[in-house]
Amino acid sequence: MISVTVRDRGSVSSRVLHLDPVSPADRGDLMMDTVQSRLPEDLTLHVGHEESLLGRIRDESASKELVLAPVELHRRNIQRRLRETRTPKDGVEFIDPVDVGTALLQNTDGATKTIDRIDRLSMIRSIFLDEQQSGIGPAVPADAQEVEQVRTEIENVSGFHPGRLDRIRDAARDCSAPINADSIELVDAAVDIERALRERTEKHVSEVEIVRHAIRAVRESRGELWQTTFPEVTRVSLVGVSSISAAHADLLHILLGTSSVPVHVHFRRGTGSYLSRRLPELFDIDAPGEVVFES
Amino acid sequence: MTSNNRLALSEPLDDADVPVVGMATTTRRQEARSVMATVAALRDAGVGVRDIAVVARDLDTYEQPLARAALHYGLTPVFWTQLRVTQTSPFALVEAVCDTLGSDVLDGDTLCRPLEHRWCPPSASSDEWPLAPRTVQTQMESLPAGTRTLDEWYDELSETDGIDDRVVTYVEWLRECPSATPDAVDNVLGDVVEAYERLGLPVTNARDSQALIETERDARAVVRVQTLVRQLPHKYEDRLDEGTLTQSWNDVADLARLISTQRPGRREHSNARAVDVLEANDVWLLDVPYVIGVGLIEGEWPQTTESVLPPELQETILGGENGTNVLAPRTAWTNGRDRDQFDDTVRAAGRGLILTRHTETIDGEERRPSYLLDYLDRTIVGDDEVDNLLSPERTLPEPLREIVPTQEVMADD
Repeated sequence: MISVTVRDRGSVSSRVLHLDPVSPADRGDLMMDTVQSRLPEDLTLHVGHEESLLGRIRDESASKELVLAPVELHRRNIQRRLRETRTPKDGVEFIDPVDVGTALLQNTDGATKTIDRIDRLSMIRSIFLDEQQSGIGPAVPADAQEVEQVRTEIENVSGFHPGRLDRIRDAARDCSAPINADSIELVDAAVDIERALRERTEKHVSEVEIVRHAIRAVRESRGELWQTTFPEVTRVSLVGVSSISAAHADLLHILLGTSSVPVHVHFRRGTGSYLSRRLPELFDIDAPGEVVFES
Repeated sequence: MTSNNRLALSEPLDDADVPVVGMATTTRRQEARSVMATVAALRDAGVGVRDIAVVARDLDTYEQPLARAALHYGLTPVFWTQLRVTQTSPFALVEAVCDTLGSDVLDGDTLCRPLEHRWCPPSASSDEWPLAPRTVQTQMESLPAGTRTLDEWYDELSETDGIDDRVVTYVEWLRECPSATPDAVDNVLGDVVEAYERLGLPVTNARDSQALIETERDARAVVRVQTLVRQLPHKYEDRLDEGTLTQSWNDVADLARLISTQRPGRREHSNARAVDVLEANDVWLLDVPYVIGVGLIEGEWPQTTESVLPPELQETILGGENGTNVLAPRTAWTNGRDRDQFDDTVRAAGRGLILTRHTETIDGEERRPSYLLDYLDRTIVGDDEVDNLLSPERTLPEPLREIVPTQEVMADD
């Protein structure tokens, strides 16, 4: 197992750009200090000022930017803006984070098939029927859709990463009684359900697992897999996001740790100043993409 | 428990860079009318409808009243929406069939994908079709590796042990499918969707929970895909005539994906006479001179989403202190996304921003304004001026007249 730590040395080229100009100076300074000292090299965070994305595509047309846009219509908006300024689109490729994972896995022995939500719900129902006698706690909802929601929320926050699950269990324990017991039950239920789903199918349990699997594969190849899958790509950006899941953070983490491709994240203004403080902290784990399950 | 970091999610948003006009009416229906009256009045004043965008947080509640109001003012609205239909089973089936027919050579997995999405022959009965997921899986595993043409697959199947007759039936059907003329698109895909409705949909129903949420979603998707398949041959023919597409099943699949980014029955390209109506999540990065944001009402924008985790645990994770800083903060637990979408709406306006709301439900209960409005310095349109706007004269309220170029300027353009 190779453990990757974020390059933290000399944050000379680390930048947080385009913070809200009206933010009080003291608050801005505080943020710049805490964020900048933790930002890995090659990572640039933008809050608002989306023109910098368009400008980069326009001015550096010889390079190839892989634009990860989780919201489908955002791609159309970028294309529309590029068209309006007659900027050629050759220097940009739009892709969903899941497609990145799929493309990477296609260059390995790993399968790329996944079950969908409908499959998961029906499996969850049968898991519950099978395990009626076993000890699923009273805090866990009986409805399959709510169980699936517990699973996705815990997955979103922890990525089922062993270190993160330890922390979330600590946090659950620290809640006041009786919320602490309920919280621990819910975290355990999410992990148990994910494990049971994994045991019931040979496909990936979710699209998020494809991304995680790809992260592990990139890590184990020390970045070579990324290089062979996306040899032309000179820059990667994640755009138009309102939140950062553990899987997306780990994808950026592994990229920054194993390649020299510059990464730009374009946050939106309502959540950007919050997320730009929190994102660097998410890199503070070992073995991104790792899960508590045996693979 | 709340840290300084967490507070960043409730900091005030920046004021707009353009003049902001606020307008309130009594009911949602009146609000929709005031929106379309504004569009019509702006058009009368020389603004091109392409230079106006209407933005709602949630189109589900506004599509119908806005469509009705648009009709009243002789406007054509275009409701943009996320590519949701493409995430549905019947669409995946249509896409998989096109991909299979469009491939010169294909591997076993691609060959079987339509079966995974419950392909059934046009004349099938429900006893044998569609193939159960496990059967498709076993069949896929028994197929030899490598890529082949359809004819080669057909020959191969007869020599492979353990192949289900139904797989042979399916491959025969593929071989008999004509090349991708507009008529063939109509017939082939029409049959595929019809069979899905008859035999695929009941499968969803059978394994759904009592609330039948998945069944309803799947049934709605069938209707959407039926509409899509009806439109597709015409649009495809147009594109062939224009020379922008070539005659191939792959291009049919591309066109289907393109059309599906919109609600059915609407156009797939911007045209000069239609006014765009968008959901706020899709507005990021857009740049339109006049933006009309609707539904700035407490409880509607922002809207809180239900979570299954206790709020105390959510707060700890969002706070990111005491070791929880490595946990990804889920902003959906806050109104963060709505803040983003509101700000995107504000930033999209290049010349003027109009924000509307209504003050009563149909039952006469009070609807309070959204606190998001407080972030912006607004000029409020008086009640009399709203009445004049809604009158047959359609007088543009004074605060709006100030941000509209004069007719002379437009004439010079």
